[in-house]
Order: sequence, then C-alpha cells, then structure tokens
Amino acid sequence: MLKVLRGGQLASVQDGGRPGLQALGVTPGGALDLVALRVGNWLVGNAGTLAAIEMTWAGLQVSFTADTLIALTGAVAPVTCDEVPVPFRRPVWVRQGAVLRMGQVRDGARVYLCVQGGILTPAVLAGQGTDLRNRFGGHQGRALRAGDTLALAPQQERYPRLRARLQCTGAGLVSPSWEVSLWRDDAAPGGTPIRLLAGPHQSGLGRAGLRALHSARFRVQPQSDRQALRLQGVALRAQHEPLRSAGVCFGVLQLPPDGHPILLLADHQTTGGYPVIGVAASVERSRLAQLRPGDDLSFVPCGLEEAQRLLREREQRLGVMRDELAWRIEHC
Amino acid sequence: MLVEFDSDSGESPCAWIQGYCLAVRAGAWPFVLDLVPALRSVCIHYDPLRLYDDGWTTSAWLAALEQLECVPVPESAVRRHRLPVCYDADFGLDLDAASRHLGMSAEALIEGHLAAVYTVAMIGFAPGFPYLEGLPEGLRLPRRATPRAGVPAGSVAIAEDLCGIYPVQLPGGWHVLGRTPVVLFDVDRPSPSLLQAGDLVQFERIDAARFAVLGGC
Repeated sequence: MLKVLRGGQLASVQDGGRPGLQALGVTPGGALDLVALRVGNWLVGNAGTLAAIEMTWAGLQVSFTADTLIALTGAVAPVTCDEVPVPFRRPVWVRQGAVLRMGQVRDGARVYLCVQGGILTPAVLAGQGTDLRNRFGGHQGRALRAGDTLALAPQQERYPRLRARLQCTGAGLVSPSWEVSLWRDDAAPGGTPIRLLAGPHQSGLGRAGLRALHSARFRVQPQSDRQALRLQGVALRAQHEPLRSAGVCFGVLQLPPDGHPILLLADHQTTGGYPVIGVAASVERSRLAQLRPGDDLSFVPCGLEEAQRLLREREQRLGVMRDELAWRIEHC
Repeated sequence: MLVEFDSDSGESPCAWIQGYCLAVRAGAWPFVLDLVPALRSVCIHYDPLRLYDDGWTTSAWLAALEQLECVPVPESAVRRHRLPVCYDADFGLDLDAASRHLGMSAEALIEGHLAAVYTVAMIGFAPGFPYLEGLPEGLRLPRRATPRAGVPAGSVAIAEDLCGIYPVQLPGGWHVLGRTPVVLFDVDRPSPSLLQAGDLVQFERIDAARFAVLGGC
C-alpha cells in the first residue's frame, strides 16, 4: 500500500488515458508526459501505461507499507527518502516505512512516480487515471491529499541483486549506478521551437500573421493546467467563416477572440469552437507537458510526413530502451 | 484528421455525418482510435505509428477515406428518446427573460420548445452534453451576455439555433428554460451517455411533483 502523507501542489493518479470515448464527450486524458510514464513503468517491469502518480511542481510526500520497487521520471526535482537523495530514471527499491519527499522541480513541470505492478485504482470507463475536471476515475476522482491510501500489487523479486542489497544493508533505499539516458528530445522544454503542423484555419492568419506565429516567442501563462497551455506573445487575428464546434486533439493550437493562443493538452474538452491555427506534432507531447508558467516557447512549421517520421524514429529508440530494461530487470 | 461537411442549403448534414461515421467504422482500420461527429464535421483520431505498422501511408489512407461510399442514415435506424422537463420557475431560470427578449409569453416559448423534434448533432463540451438541432426559428436568441458560473445539472437550455442539456453543474451562457430529472451521463452504466449523436429527442412537460418522483433535484 502507498500512504499519502502530503498531497503537495497537485498530484493525481494517471495512466495511458481513455481513448475511444470522445464521441460521448469523455476527454482522453492520461499522463501528460506519456514518454516519462512509459519509461518509468518499464524501469519497474510494468507494461508502459500502468497507472502512476503524476506530481506537479512540489510537495508530495508518501510512504509504503512494504518494500517497494519504484522509479522517478519526467521533470527533475529534489526527492529524498529519509533525507537521502533518490536518483531519477533508475529502478529504486524503497524500504517499508521510509518517507519519500518531493521538493520543487528544477526543470520541467511534472514528475512521475511509477511503482511495480502500477497503482491499483478501480477502472472507470476502462481507465484507472483521474479525470480531474469531471471528477471520476483515479482515487475518488480527485487530486491526492494527506491520509489517502492507494492499493499496490504485491511486489515481486525484480532486480534480484538490488533487492538482496536492500535486505542486507540498513539503507532506506538502494539503486544501481546506471540510469537510462535522457529521453526527452531537445532536453530543455523552451530550447528549440515546437514543431507545428498547419491547422484547418491557419490560412485565415494571412501572410503577416503566419510569419508572426512562426517567429514570435510565446510565454506560458499561470492559468495553464492539464487542460491547456495559455500562451501570450504577439496577439494574432484569424479571418474565418463562422465556425461550428468540431473535434479537437492534444496539441491543437486554438485562437480565441482575444488573439492569445491556447494549446490543448490531455484534459482538453472533446470539441472546440475557436479557429485552429496549428497542431503541434505528436512527438512534442512530452516537451509540451513539461512547460510551466513563465517558460517561453516558439513554433516552427513542420509537415505531416516529417512529424510522423520523427515519431517513428523516437519510438524505435524507445523500443531499444524497453528491451534493454527487460533484460536488466532479471539480471541486475 | 478533420472531415468537414458543407451545408449550403442550411439543412443539417447530421444524417450524412452519421452515415460517414458508419462507413469509417466499416473500414475497420485498427489505427482509428476515436470518431467524433460534430455539427458540420467528423474528427477522426488515429495512431500514426499503428497506421505505419499496418503497412499504410497517411496519403494512401486519405485516398481511401475520400473514396468511402457513404449514404445518410435512414430515420428508421435512429434511436428516439422522450425526455421529461419541468418548466416551473424554480427550474426555468431564464424563461421570463428569454420570452421577453423573443417578444412572446413564457407559455408560448414552452409550447414552441415542446413542439419540436430535435436531433442530437453532437456530444461535446462535457461528458454526455448533447447539442440538439431543430430549435424552431422563432425561438433563436444569442447567448446570455454574462455566463452563469454554475448552471444546475439537468438544465435544458437554448442559445442561437441549438438546445442543450447540462449533465452536471457547469458554467454556461445558454438560456435555461427548464430542468429534466433524467441522468444524462453515469460512468457506472454500460452505456454511460444516455444520448448519442444521431438520436432524436422530444421533450415532455411534467410538473414539480412528477419531477420529484422521477428523482430530480
């Protein structure tokens, strides 16, 4: 069992989401940084999208009622276990009763705490993650807070040598000397521009507007959340016929009448009525997930073919990592 | 992928959109994750990695989508619902203001609203929230200047050429005419949303006592 001692800023149970129900108005949701979720799960021997805890910004404190195999991925934050720093991107066996404390993230926005066997919240609409806006799924449809307990699967003897070390030392945690390399393409979220495909209403920006979209820097605003990044930079205008609401997806860049674009994330509503001036390439999902208020970003045009090729190339690299971890789990 | 439907005649393309969704589903492409019919479009969500693994290219699949044979869904295949609505002042929060705006009595507004047969053109905004087409011309008015922070669950409301029903309490700027005791969305039901795009809906007037009997609140 996992006990929550402090909920922190915003921590919730998230998995791969609930695809397939958008025709009923159900947001697909899921972990914002899906790559971090998958790598974290692979590190502890799980299938890629089992439920984990997504922690935003700072403050979560948890302990375990049995020795537990965990992994931390995503944004980098100072996390300690009984005052000892917990390394990221490695498997970590944590001793029963030891307290894990998460400080403020240094880079990025969201940290993932994956546990062997996943977090066993009941499935709601075929998903174990939390729909925070509609208040269902995950743990009672809400963010975690002090006093919550989450069921975990019985822990199996993964990483047998590591496990043996935990048992014969008095340490609160043990981890190997290796880690998986940074998987986030273009490590710094604000570094290189976000690749942007043309949206159905992009031509309404006109030539000058399009140039502005691809050259301006936009700043992530404090009202941003799991639903969307609210951006502010140069105000844009799009000419368009009267629009009717239509389906939208992760990465859609909408332009409301105030001219400040909104970039939709995992908890987006299933439909939207604003002009869609672009769609961020799927390969950018993790970088978008790790942007936080005050970060700057810019956009660079990208074709569909290129976007899909980049996605395939990354998937191949991730596949190599997954296979390598499957071997280590039995032998390290 | 967004497929848009023309509506030059002003007629709702809803039956065509439903027919198109059926045709895409019949394609049985395993990389299609979700199909979202809307007022004038269908949004096809797909997994580009899976598409590629299945031996497709996006352009080849686009060509296949363009060649899909599609016919409007016949009325006989459409599900019909009768939804009870209580128009009492406690529930019809904007009945007076809306009828004044339209230059008719509240009773005439209710009768007009009851007389129409509506089509669920899409579900969106929130789980189970239906956008109903078919509001009579004479009942059309712009959204409220100031949206409400919380429109009560079950509220039946109108704006422009649409009628909607709030499945749970939500912010909203539509004019609330009444309230239904029927639960529109429940994650514990095998089919969580009572309504689906393409369904037909008629409203049936009930009084406050019947509203309470039916479990309304």
